[in-house]
Amino acid sequence: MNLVTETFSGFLSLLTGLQITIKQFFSPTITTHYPHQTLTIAKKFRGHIELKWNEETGKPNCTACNICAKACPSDCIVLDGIKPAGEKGKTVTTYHLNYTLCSLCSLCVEACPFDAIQHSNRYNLASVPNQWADMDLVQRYKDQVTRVGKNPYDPYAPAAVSAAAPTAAVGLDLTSSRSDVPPASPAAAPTAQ
Amino acid sequence: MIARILELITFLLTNEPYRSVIYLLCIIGFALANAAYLVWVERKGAGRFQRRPGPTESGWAGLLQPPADGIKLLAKQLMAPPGGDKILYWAAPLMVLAPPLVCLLAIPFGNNILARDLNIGLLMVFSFGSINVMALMLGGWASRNKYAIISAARVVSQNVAYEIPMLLVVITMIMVTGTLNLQEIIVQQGGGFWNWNILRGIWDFSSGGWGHIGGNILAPITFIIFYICMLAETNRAPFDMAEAESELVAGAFTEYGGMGFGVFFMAEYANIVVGCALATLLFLGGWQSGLGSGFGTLLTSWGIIGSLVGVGFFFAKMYFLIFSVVWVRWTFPRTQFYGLLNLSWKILIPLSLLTLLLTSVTLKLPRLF
Repeated sequence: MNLVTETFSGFLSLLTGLQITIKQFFSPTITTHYPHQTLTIAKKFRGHIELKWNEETGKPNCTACNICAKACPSDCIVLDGIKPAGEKGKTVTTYHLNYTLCSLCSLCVEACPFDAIQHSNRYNLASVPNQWADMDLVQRYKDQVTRVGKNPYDPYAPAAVSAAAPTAAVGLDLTSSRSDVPPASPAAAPTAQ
Repeated sequence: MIARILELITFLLTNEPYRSVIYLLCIIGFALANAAYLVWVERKGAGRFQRRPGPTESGWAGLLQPPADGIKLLAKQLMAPPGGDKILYWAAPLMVLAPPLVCLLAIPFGNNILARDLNIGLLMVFSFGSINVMALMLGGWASRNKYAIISAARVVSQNVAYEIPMLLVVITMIMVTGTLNLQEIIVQQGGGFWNWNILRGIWDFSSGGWGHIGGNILAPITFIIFYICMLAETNRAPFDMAEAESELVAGAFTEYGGMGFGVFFMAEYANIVVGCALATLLFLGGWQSGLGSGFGTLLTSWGIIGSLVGVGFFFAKMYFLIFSVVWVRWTFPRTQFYGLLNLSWKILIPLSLLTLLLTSVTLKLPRLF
């Protein structure tokens, strides 16, 4: 008798299972069709580091003090700066990040006394090897100047920026056409940084 | 013009040399198209059951996915494992794909639309349907691979266990129908859907009036047993012990690559088509519309068009069953092996014996109702 009731209740539970799955079958899909649709990336997303955009001066906050490079446990930051004539502090001229070594530990961001670096929220980073072994963050900052569109003051020779930006987009940043540079239609740029 | 075309079709389908060639080509085409596109149905179904869209990129709604997969498999090198039995190894894919094609020869798709009207059609379908097991066993054995051999052993014990209730159920149905001829079995189920074997067994209206008690009052249970056994015989989830990818890599197909694997894959779906077609014609009235005898006679009066409408009804039922096979696969996890055998020996075989006993008693009893 036990076998009979067990068989019967087991069969009913199977039917319940079928009922649940068929409900899911007729429900709308919950996935994002990735290359065609993208999700908005959270502000807190830890991408590679970048020089923070300074709204007031247009210059990076970075003074090339090298504290971030010293804080980095993976030795993936190499930077240098100059002291422009007539200015008080140094200004960064080269900031190279070896992203293939970076473990996104955020120690550089925490160590920076000038609040000059932050995590970007780029995630479309799939590329051929060595694409990210040498990221020029100063170049990225310059691109950002043209990308943001307002350029009150550019410490890096404004004439050179417009010429440098396209090559940077091709040479360094394969994904720029997808999420970084605002494309023609503003609706298609949910991940613009 | 249309009348001329219909006349030509009727001529071709009734005169011998053309008829055989047409049926042969159509059945091969039907089986292979199903084998290819049921993979698409499976993947789309799997996607929908998991709330994702399934293949979408190649062709509209991913409809070019099966040819793309086929071309990829064809482009791969065919390799046999060293030390294995090469002849058996390559014979197995052929043996697994050929029997479903033969089975389809005997299956009536519509009124007058069947390749061979065999008096022992049901017997033929089951005898060829069982070769599938041997092919999987040979493939596993000839692979010289421990997973494949474990899978081969499982396939044999699973199929022996499930062949018994399936054949008992079929014997029950043969006792009710009194014939092995598949076309006759369908013709008997004409009229309303209450005349289909799944319901006629309970209460038989076919003799007119209030009717009387049918031959097999447990007919719905018989259908469920048949369905479960069909899942097990075609090695479908939750009984896919032959493949069991989480335990046995790919079971009997572990060593197969390229189109050798592709043929096994296609044969699985061809077998599902045969199994669901059998379930349709044994229990669900085959090509009968189930809309009453008036509609049935109307269809027969339309000649070839009526037959094609019947084929539509047959396919509707068959593809619903095939969809339910996909549905079951993406609902239930794989059973453990002893659970599988327990289900057969402890539940399905006693139940099918009970239905057999009840049916034989009901058929021999004087008609009280």
